[in-house]
Amino acid sequence: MSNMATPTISQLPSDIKRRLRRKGDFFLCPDDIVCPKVAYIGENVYYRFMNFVYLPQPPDSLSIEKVVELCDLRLDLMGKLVNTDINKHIVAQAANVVKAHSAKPLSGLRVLDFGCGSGFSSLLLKEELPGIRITGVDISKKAVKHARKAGLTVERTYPDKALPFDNASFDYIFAIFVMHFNVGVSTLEELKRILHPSGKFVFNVYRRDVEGVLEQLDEVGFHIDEVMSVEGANGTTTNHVIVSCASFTPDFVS
Amino acid sequence: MQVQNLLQYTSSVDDIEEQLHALVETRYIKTHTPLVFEALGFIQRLYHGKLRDNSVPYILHPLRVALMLGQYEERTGTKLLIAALLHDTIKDGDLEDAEIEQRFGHFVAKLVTKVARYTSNTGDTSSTDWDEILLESHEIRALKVFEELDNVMYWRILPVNHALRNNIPFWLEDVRTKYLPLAHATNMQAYELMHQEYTYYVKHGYAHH
Repeated sequence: MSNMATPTISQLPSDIKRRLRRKGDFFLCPDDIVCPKVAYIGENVYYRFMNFVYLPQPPDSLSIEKVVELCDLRLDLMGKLVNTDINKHIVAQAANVVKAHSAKPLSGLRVLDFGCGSGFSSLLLKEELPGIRITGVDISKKAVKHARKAGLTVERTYPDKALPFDNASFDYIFAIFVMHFNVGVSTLEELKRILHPSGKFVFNVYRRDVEGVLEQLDEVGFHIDEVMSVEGANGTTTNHVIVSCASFTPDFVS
Repeated sequence: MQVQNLLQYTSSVDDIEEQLHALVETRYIKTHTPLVFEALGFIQRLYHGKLRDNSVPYILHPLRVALMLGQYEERTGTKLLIAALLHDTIKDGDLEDAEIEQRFGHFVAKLVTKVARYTSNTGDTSSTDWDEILLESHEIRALKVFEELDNVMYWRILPVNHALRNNIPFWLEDVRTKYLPLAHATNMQAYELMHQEYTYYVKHGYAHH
């Protein structure tokens, strides 16, 4: 939190409120207005996600059910809700961790795209890291269907259930635009289980959330290697960091 | 875990400590648990013999906040549990933030300091401060929500004719305007429990329990 004064959170102006469209637990914002980032709608506070949706909780507090609802909404509104340039930039930065770290040739590396959504990030990873064997997982039935249509190998997963892979199945696990959501400790334990001891878990996260996420990873025994700020085009700053972590401490890996 | 006991403020300190031990030992990896027990030992010594408003042992409040977080908040790690145990120590002047950081780490110190900041000595916060907490991380909001949830539950057992009962209408207004929206933004189980308590006071009054 910066030292700048926080603006008072007010009721959403009535002219905007009238134009909101309810979608499940969310409100879709009008296309032609940039709505306030946080506002009261009735008695409760709503948080704007990207420019088009108000959420009843910020992303790090959304329940799994609401995360699925939001992911499905993103699939319906791909053009509006997904900034492809940012996605490409983040995936390229995350892929650089593999290029810098991997002693093995890229070809044949076993990679998991955790929370693959539409499969867009998996396709970008395949472009960045030619020859990898990538598998996606997602909790949204709709997303799995969508990603399979794109020709990807994808498994549907369920909260609080083991991931459908053997121990040490993957050399790398990526989570692109996932870790700003509430990912439970049991799921992180599963990711640790299926990651090879010499592998890496690489993800991006909004900078404001990163400390809590790092504590959660530490809690399940991940070793944090590196936290890197992501620069935008022309050296501008972004709100993202890339985190790279290992399932075992470096001394343990022979 | 006997949730009913937890909700109704009927468990003894020993019961709650036993439940907390069980939670910590079964849920967390062994390298992280000694620090939780160090924090527990610290508040056991700090609050020994101290009563809250001449009614129940003072230590019940931090213990219950920690246990409720463990029970209802799936992201609760050992650091958040420790912060829950220590959350009143800065406000009450028992520990400095630097000492917490040295003994329990930066993240715990940050959580405890932030929560203390959002609780003045009168229990009030300015509206600007309050807007800030709505923008804080999940862990800080969760700690504040469960702390207040325990306070709201505690009012039921305040002794009849206790002077503090006169404050309950003002506190309830804070619950309606501040804490229920915060709980709604953070943890729906906490929101439902707090709403249930709020409705109870509105329906039955607050002069007697």
